[in-house]
Amino acid sequence: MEENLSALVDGELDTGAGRRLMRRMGADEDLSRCWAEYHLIGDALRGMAEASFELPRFRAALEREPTVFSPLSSRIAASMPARRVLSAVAAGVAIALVGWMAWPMVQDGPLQRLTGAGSPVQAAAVVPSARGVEDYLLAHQRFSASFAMQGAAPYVRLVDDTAKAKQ
Amino acid sequence: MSDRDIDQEFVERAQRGDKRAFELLVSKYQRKLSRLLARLIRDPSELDDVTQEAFIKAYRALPSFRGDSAFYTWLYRIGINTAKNHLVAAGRRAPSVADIALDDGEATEEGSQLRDINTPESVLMSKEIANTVNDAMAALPEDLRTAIQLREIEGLSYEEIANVMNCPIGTVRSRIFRAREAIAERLRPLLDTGANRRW
Repeated sequence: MEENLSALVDGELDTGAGRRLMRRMGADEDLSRCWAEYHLIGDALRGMAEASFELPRFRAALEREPTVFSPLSSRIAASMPARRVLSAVAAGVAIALVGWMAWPMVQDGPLQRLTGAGSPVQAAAVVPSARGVEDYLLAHQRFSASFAMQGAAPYVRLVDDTAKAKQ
Repeated sequence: MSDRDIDQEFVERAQRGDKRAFELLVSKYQRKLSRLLARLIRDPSELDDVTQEAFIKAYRALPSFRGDSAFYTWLYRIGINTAKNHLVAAGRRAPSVADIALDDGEATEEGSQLRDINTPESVLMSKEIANTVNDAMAALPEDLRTAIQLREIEGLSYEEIANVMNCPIGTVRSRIFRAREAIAERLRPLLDTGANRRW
């Protein structure tokens, strides 16, 4: 493994092996140590052996820094057009899903009950002779689930029945 | 995997939150940057602080690094600006761009001569490291010594070294590795980074 590291230091390791090794270096203290030593050896041979930089002190300072996160690295940024298309598709799917979930509420909601086929006058016309049932419904409509939603509709129903009763 | 690709890989790992990747870049470039900034900062104790400050600033600026230039080129600019700001804050004149050679490899001896204030400890440590490396090199078999000299001092590629030494590239790779290990074995006690100790 260290021979691969030596080749990596010289830029002579293939990309796949290089990336695998670099992944390991993040967690392997021995590999990290060798990396630092090999670079020190090269610098010393080139006359740059100054050891004025204390790595442990720097590491402590780096630990105090907020961790940077920049997902848009150059490699990812290079594929931005594809990501934009995917983002647009995802947004469209989300809008369609919200619309599909909301459609039943539009179909059967309070708006339909006040203005459409569920009007009290038409209900009374469908069941004209069941006087007992109407009395029962009038007496118990306050317990109906739609009572609070219909506002004036219960009073409209009551007026209509009263008018029919007088006839 | 080229040197630039290696640096880019470390940068991208650091940009994704891997601080250890940035430390590995620091290990690689600390002496080179320090050598450069020594042309501006003469006091070794200040030099240490300014160099570290430059690396911290580089870390904070990582999100803005897109790989358009080489990492060291980008680091170089941050280092120079950090040193200049330090001098201005200390009430000293910041040298002009013309005062600083853009090719930092051309003036290694001049850089050391600029340091007219030396702390004994750092000088002693530097000399010990240099002496240890030189002694280790002298003790190497000739083929290992030649291989690592051609690589580290002459900057030849493995293929070029193989041509010079008339041997396969795999042999060059092995010789350089064995030379490094032999030198590192002598350096470790000095660096206090033996098997049971950490950086």
